[in-house]
Amino acid sequence: MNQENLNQETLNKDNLNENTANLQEVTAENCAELNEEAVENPTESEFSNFNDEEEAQKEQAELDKKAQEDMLLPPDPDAILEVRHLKKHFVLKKTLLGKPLSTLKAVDDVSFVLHEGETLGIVGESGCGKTTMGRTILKLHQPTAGQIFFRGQDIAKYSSKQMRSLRTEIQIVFQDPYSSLPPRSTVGGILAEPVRVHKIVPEDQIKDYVLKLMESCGLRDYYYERYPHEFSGGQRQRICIARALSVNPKLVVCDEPVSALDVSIQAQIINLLKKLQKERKLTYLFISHDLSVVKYISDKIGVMYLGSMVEFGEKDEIFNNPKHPYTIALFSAVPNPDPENKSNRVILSGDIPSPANMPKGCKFHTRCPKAQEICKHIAPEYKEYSKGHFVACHFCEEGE
Amino acid sequence: MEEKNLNEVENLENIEFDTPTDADKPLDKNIKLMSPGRMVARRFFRSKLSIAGISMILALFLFCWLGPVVYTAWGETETDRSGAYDYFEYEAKDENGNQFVQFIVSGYSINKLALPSGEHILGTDQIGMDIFARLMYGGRRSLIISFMAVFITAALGIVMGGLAGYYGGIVDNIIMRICDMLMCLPTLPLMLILGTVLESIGIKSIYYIYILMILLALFSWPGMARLVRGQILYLREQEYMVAAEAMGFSTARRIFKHLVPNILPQIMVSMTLSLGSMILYESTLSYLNLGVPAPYASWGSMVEIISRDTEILKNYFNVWGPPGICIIIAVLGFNFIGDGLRDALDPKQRR
Amino acid sequence: MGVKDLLNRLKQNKEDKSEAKSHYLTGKEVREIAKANAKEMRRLEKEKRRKVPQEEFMSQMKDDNNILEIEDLHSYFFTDQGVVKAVNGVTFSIPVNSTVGVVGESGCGKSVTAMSVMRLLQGPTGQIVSGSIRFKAYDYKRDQDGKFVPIYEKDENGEVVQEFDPKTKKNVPKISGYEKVEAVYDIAKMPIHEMYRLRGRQISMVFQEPMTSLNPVFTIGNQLDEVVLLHIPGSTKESAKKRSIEMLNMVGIAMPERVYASYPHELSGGMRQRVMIAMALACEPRLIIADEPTTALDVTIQAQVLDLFNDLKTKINGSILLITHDLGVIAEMADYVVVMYAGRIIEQGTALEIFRNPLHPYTQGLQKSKPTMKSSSDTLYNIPGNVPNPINMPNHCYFKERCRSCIDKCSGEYPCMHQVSPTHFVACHLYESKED
Repeated sequence: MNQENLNQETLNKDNLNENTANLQEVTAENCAELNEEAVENPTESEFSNFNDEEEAQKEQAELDKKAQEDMLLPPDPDAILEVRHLKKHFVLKKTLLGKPLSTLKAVDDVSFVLHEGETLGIVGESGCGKTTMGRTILKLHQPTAGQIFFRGQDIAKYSSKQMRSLRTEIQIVFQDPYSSLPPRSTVGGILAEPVRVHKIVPEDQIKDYVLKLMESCGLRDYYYERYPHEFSGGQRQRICIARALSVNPKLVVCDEPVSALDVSIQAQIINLLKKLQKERKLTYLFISHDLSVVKYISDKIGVMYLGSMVEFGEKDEIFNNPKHPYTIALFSAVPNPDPENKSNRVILSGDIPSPANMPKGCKFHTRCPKAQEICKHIAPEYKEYSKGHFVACHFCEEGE
Repeated sequence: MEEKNLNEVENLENIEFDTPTDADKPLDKNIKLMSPGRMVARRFFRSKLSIAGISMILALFLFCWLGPVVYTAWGETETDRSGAYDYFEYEAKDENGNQFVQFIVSGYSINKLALPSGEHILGTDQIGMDIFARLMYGGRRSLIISFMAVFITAALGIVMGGLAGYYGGIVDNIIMRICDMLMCLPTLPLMLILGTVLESIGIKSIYYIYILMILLALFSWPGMARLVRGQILYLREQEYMVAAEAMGFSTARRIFKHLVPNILPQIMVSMTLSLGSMILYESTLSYLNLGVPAPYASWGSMVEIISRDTEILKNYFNVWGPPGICIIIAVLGFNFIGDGLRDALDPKQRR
Repeated sequence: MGVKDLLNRLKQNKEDKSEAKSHYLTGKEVREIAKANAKEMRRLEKEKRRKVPQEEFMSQMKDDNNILEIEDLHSYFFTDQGVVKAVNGVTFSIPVNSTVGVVGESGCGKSVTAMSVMRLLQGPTGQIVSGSIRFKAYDYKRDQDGKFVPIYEKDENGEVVQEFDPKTKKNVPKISGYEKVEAVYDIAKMPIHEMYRLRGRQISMVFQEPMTSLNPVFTIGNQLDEVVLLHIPGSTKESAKKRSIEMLNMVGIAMPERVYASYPHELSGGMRQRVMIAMALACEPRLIIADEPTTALDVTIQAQVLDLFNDLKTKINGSILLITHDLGVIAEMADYVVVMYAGRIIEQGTALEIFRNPLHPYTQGLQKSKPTMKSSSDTLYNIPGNVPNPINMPNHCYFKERCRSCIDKCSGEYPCMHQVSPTHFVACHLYESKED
């Protein structure tokens, strides 16, 4: 760490010492870039006397105030799910008295609205908090702050007992089909248990109900007596989907449901999810790291980076007219299966900083190809760029 | 159903959704798997050692429980009085001055320290009791005592570890600190002291060993509790437990229907392995004279004699050898079974 | 009456149960499998332990332009449920200085092929049963005493440069390297202890999981140096460190000294994968096997690593065997593509041929079902059914049950490879008629 600091001593020392701590890796390009800047702007006139700590506090206070105001508004009546200023912080270290010393801001101020029958795709790399957000919406984690309206009810404040009755409305499908099924029950047992517990159908009809459910999820009836370990990943994921649907939910959070599967099976599962959505009028919150997968299933797309939403909008809008440099980089990073037409990539240097120690200012500035001095100090506002298209970047207007 | 599917396909612009077709049925039916039970059995019996362990333990059990039914010649505390009387000659004179020899019987007619023969398969001990019979009765007692101690340990460990693991926080902290404290205590010296205390209270000596083993169980549950707690902490993070929570199952249901069945294998393995050490403990306590009092038998107390009589240690292997061998067989057997079970039930080998 | 009913019901129950359990092996079958497996495994293990004279594993390449030729390779796993023919008659070759991509879904045998080349299959269950893997290796030449033959460094005048040796306190000729000879080995027949000469030095491997493939208790420098010290004769600690830092530089690590001194946990996934690549390159191997090198990485990091690989391809003097399930990665990297399905090659050709003109229905389906950024349609094509479990495969085309363009012939024998163009081969009955 010392060497790194020495290299960059020419730069604004106070600010960078803290930032470099976040950088696990400084690659050649990054380093060159930094040095260049240092030569060009030996002193930053605009920001040389900028007190980050103070400004950040001011900014935070402003944001909090705005959040408070927002929270008083009535929920959107058309939305099945409305999330406002949702935060989930994990306390990593405590003092002896239990005062938090360092927190991991897994989800940091996320807001969106989801209407019935729609699919919202959440995209982001590992560690961006997308999974935590999905689980917080299900109240598997207690949110730190913010509101979650499910059909106009703020479930963020619900107790776990109150939530239990709502479990039939919101369900989740997990990423790993191997660890998400209990190894010691049969498929029939796994699917029948929630039906029995929530008394979805009378006891004597449970088996018929389960068999029908299995059929609609593409599972054969003779799987009823089998154990999960006898199945391949794709079939297990079908079982997981069937389990989630067994209680007739309205909203299903799909947490990377196809990431662990083979390509040909991925397509099956995506098509199955789409079919079920049509049949049962489901609403999906589809979380994935793979943009190309999200494209096939979503109506709206949200791009997350380090716990916050950096861009949000209709699918076509995001795909045709991406604004945030991170979104653009993500798009170009997907390998293109065409040997002649090798894509011209925007290759991001460096790694995602740890969410326990986030960079100041814009969270993306450590990797951003467009980053300027302002990005290091002031966090951009998350605002509506055009109707329904939200971006959090200082340069999105000029970027045209 | 087939027709309905076809309609759907048309409705949705000819997307071919994956509906079960008969085409892939043969390939699917082609594959035969091993049933879960058979898989466990196969893995267990793959190792020759676990077969050896099972046969050793089975043999011991048959010997201890069926043996006395068949071999009825001698009881546990029955002394063979067919031996010669101990006497000494005493030359005396009567009033008349006639000399005569007087035989004075100074001991019982005990057939002590007899060598193995048709009458006593393994001979007799220093008080003329049949070693073979005592081996069987003593085995019963040793095994019962150690099973009892293991079950008490496991019950305590599961409850405490389960509470600590599932609730976490303060409960976890308190239970784990109690564990730490208990683990600091030196068990053997403590047992010695407790043995003396029991004596001074005036409890019948036949109950000593039971009380001591219960106390031992009270001291040794932390190991089990830690195992259970660790397992629960691990399983709680498994996605199927999160899924169970998302399904809205109650806490009790989650613990008893989803958690407990999944930690049972580990508990079973650990219990089997600790059976061996409990047998050793029982022997140790008996050897230190805190165990089963004479004339009752246990394997440990049968070996104990060598600490008092070096003559027996030197010349009479048939007195202390067989119980020693039984202890070794029991400990080895339980350890072999434990190892085999671990291999068979280890979920990591699944898939 | 009541008793009869009860008996009937019991019988019915039993039948129901046996119906449900019919897909399980019976005890008899299990014992038969175990017996057959034990016999076969014993034979193969015995074969492995046999002392093999050098002549037996020396071989000749069919085409001198190839660095690796795999011919009719069969690698099986003898499991309790039956013999898994993970690699079932695979034949392909890797030309010098090129990248060959093997693509397929999980369980298609692509990783097992790589493991067979490295001879890393876990015995006794995993065995190479038959076939040959010919590898053109450089080996250090040895003189009669078994010592390496040194090449002395010469100055412009052709005179040997002298160097002061602190140990003997004398001037000795400076050694720049050792003489090498080229030899072709049949890896499948090589004894394991001979393999140590090839592994790491001439064939190296980059694994999928960068988080677990570095030893957490040693520094990166330690682990890199070890490779160099072990495989490059005459290297000292200083030269090894120099080489390691050079390697770290080559894989685009900006501060090699810092990384050299750090422990694996201090690095991110992408950095670790770079270190793994550096380690694989350290001995200038002739063949690098990259087993899903980018699968565990994030998209933006994957882009970095792919970029690095493409950059290295021009820098190093060796071939790459790239194994992945991602068609996108293959398209970016590979010159030749081999498509595997259920342990067999179903199509192979140049990257252009495979991506522009896929012939096998599976290859076509795989490409269509891969979600891409460019396509405009909202729906995905999918291949029905599941990847088959490779136990007891029938003797017809393995893809038949999932294929949409089946013809009558498909129920017949397994199709053999048909040549479509000089480099393009496909194993499908659909293309037979064109040949005949």
